[in-house]
Amino acid sequence: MNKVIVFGASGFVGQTFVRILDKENCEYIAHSSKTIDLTSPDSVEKIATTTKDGDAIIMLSALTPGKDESDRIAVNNLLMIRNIISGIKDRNIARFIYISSDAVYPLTSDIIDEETIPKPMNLYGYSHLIREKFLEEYISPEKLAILRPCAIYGKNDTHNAYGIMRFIRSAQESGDISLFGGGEEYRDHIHVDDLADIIFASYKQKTTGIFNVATGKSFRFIEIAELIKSSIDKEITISFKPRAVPIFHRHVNMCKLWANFPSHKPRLIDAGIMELLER
Amino acid sequence: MTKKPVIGFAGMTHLGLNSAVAGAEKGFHIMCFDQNAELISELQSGKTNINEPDLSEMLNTNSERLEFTSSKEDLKKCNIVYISLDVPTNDKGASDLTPVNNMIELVNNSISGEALLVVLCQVPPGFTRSINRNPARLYYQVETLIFGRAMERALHPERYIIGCAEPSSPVHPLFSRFLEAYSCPILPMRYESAELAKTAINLFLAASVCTANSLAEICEKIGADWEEIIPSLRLDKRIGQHAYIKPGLGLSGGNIERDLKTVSQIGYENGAKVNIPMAYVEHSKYRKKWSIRKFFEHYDNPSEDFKICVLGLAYKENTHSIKNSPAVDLIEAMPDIEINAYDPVVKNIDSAKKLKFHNSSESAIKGADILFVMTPWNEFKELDWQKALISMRGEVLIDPYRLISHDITADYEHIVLGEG
Repeated sequence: MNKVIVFGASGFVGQTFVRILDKENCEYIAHSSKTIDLTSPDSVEKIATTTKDGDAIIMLSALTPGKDESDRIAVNNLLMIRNIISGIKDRNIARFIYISSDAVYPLTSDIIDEETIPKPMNLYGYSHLIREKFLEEYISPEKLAILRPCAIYGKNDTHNAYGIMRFIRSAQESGDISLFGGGEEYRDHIHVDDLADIIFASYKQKTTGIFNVATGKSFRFIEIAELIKSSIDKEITISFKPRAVPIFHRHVNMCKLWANFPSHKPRLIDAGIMELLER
Repeated sequence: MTKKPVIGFAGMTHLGLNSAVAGAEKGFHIMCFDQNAELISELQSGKTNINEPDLSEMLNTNSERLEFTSSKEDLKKCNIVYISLDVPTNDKGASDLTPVNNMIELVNNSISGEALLVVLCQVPPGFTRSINRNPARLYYQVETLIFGRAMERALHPERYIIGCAEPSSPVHPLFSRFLEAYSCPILPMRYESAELAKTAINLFLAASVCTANSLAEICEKIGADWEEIIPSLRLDKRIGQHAYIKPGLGLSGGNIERDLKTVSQIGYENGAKVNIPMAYVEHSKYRKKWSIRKFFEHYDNPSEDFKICVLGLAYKENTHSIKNSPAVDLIEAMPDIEINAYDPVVKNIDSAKKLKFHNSSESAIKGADILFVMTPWNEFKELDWQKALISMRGEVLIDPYRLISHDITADYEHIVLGEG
């Protein structure tokens, strides 16, 4: 049996995905920045050594905004994909599943679907888009799946980005949820378990092409905050601070994902938050 | 008075047959030519599988004036020959003109030099002028066939738009004699204008359809009802009583899509901005998936024997055509579940899905978890829904065209277009 090679296995999504591989008794290699530095030229040989014909690759490694300067993030993200491609160039891999981001889409678009023309608003988004282009250049279409998740949330989220998990932590720790403006923006959020489940389904089903991964039902930040407030058994204050960026909304048309993964429909945001707070 | 011309129609298509029968109804002798001898044989016996109101009856009542032939020699008897082939399109709306070119060559080589050749097909601007024939004997005529109303439109056209080499010269007397029998305005113009006029009509229709659909979706989101708004638009003279503003599931049938593609391509090649027709195409694709989105919104924790019912497969009522049909798209998007289908005319489609055809609505509905009514056939409007729904297992009715009265659906989740 061929194995699954996971890059980014110690990250938030990676850990969840690896748990599925364990549960499904899949043979795998879990790479993280501790086992391999994908930005280093040395990684090419390591990848070549550990990858065999017939292996599947799940690429979750990416530097995300907030941890580093944006130009360094973009450059390192591109180095990672280039080195992986160099490492597997002589291998006949079975599948390559790349976890991209909805940051490839323009912020001002109306409801987005997989045919929306990408137009990232920052270098992070461009780095995902260029990674996709690298893969489309070097991996044959019948082996390549690109998943573009919206904001991800779940118990072990370490990113603390503005959204569900930051609101929950802040509510639990300080009894306050702080929103920009009036929290008017609509956003979709995907539960990490659902994303990991879809990645695994994509691997098993041999799905190819580009898929947005979201729930299809966006909530305003204020609605999310109210939901959290009403689900926590203590006094919570929702406060408002001046908006740093203009309002933009994000709605995702999920037809393609639903039709291709009918048994893996992601839970809606309200259900996901309730589950998190019941744990 | 100019003698009555003998009229030929080359290509017994939906367009060709309806136009030919209308010509016979107007009292002209019509030569109906097609290279498919089997089709000609069927028509000679008064049979057609084209489903149009009044077509079969008029085919038989006018049999004395309708001469069916697969011999090109018979075209020599004609004073005027229409090229009446369908122009097939691919899934992107692009035309394949090969069959039309072949037919024009055949007819051009068969008819006399005095006879008139009239292109009645959907061709791009510039096509007619490129035909190798004496321009004084060559015309283009805009067809405005509507599937499901083809005979009515053929007998009572609003106007005739005629493409000519020299619009300032009078239309040939024989051609005038034929056209005047329909008692409608005749608008001669240069070939290119007439060819683009056809496209312009369809683009205005596309604009109305897409604007209505866009606003209907807004209604669904904010709790408004598009049906309540429609009368206020129809009473506005700038929009009008007959405007295409009923909400629907995007553009279907292929013809409007073809013209959107044609205009986009001409703009692209010639450096004109064509983002508007392209936006219609995009919006239509999105709208066509309305019922698919509704299905998946309700496809939670399905039972092992989950089944759906799809009533109506034709892209609209009174036609057998399933070209770009939202019902077919819906079926193809379904997961591995049982699909029970019924359509008054469409009895089969090429699909690998678990699709079972029934011979009645009631039979198809039985045991369904979700019901879709995808084509507004009269038969569905007149169905005894109260009785029919009793045998359903589920409670979700996806009824885009509001064929089921809200009065009997209080116990169901009844989802319609344009209502929030």
